[in-house]
Amino acid sequence: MVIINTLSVAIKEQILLKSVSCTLVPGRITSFVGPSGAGKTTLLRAIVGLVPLQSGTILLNNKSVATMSNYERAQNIGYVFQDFNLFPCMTVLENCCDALLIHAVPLEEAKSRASVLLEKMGMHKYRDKYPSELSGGQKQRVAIARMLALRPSVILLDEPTASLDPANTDILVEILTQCVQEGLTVGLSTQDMSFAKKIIDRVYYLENGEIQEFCDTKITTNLLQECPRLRNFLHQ
Amino acid sequence: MNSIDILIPYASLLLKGSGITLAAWILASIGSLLLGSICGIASSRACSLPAFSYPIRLYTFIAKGIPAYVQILIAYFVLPSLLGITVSGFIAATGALIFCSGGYVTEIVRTGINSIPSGQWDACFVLGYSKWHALKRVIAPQVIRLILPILLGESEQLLKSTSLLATIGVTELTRAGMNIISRELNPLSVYLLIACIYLLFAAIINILIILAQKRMRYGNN
Repeated sequence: MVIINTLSVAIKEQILLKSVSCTLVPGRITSFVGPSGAGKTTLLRAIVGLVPLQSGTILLNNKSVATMSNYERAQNIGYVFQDFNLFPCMTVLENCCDALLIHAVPLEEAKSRASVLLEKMGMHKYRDKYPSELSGGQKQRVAIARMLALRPSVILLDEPTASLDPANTDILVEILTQCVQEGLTVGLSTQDMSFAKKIIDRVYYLENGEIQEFCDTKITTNLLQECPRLRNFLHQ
Repeated sequence: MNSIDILIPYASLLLKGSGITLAAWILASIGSLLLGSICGIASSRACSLPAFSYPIRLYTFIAKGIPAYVQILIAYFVLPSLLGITVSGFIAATGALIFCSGGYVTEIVRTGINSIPSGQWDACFVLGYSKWHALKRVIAPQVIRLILPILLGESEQLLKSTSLLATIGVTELTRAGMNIISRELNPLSVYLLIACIYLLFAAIINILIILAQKRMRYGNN
């Protein structure tokens, strides 16, 4: 479980997040939705240590993420970038294996672990291709496989549907559903209404770096009354 | 006696001159690559410490700003007397070429590293790579592919600069040719032959560039 407590982030005197508090729960999909510039990506990047925190804490299973080494954090929290950031000089299989080798997994085990995940993502036949030979949807599945190879308990995805067509979006929904069924903590940011509706579970609505509304589909009974901004956003 | 026959007795002199040119070129290429790589990495995003960055910027300014010829003269005539040591013309000139070319290689390496999108560094960070591992396994292969043609071009430039060794009396290829001309008074055939030998060396570099580019190709890039 990830607990974010009064988190503030400012870069070059520009406040990007203002005292944000939220949680990411195992076995659930927590979405951060909102317009562009709301702070969704900054929040996810703060969790994985890509932006410095001004104040506040991020706890993973009651341990501060800020005190974790880069190496330890990577084993616990996986992150998929909006533009995937696959390594262009490596094949699909190497992209998924290399981080495992860094984490002292023997080569044969790394290869078999990566192969299993690529099979699961329907990408096994592309294992010897380079990222430049893949489509956006295929790249994303490789990026997810690369992240899952480290077996993190928390996975974060930044705008995962930004470069996907509807068919690939459905594949992504299936993958995320599987991850949730396996008990992973899933967090993502999106401004894609149709995708947000498909995976709606726990949703935080952000605007101007602040959480404006929270909706838990297991608790919220009347979205219109309890989360009017989120409802408007989803029905835009 | 035709012009080619005139050169036959001087074959060993030309071969020795070519050997000295090759030795100076290879040593200066390796030296400048090492010096430039260290300075380039230290002043790039991979290291980004002002303690390294400013002295390295000063070094590249000096190395690129002073003509290679002047640097060779300083290395041969000024530095040894300042330091109270004796160095051969070959060592002084090769050292000066390393210093001079190292400045350009530093810029090439630094620009190459800094041109890699920051997302690649971020991805390495998120996956738990140390800076060294990120540089070695992810960034360097991309940088090498990017800068290799430029580096080999710099090496080609260095090959031509080795002719400056002649100015301080090192009998490299050009100097050997000048010695032959002073005896035979036949500049046409001698200079043509020397030019052909330089072109042969340049052709070898160009073949290396093509082979390296083919080897470094991946995917649709």
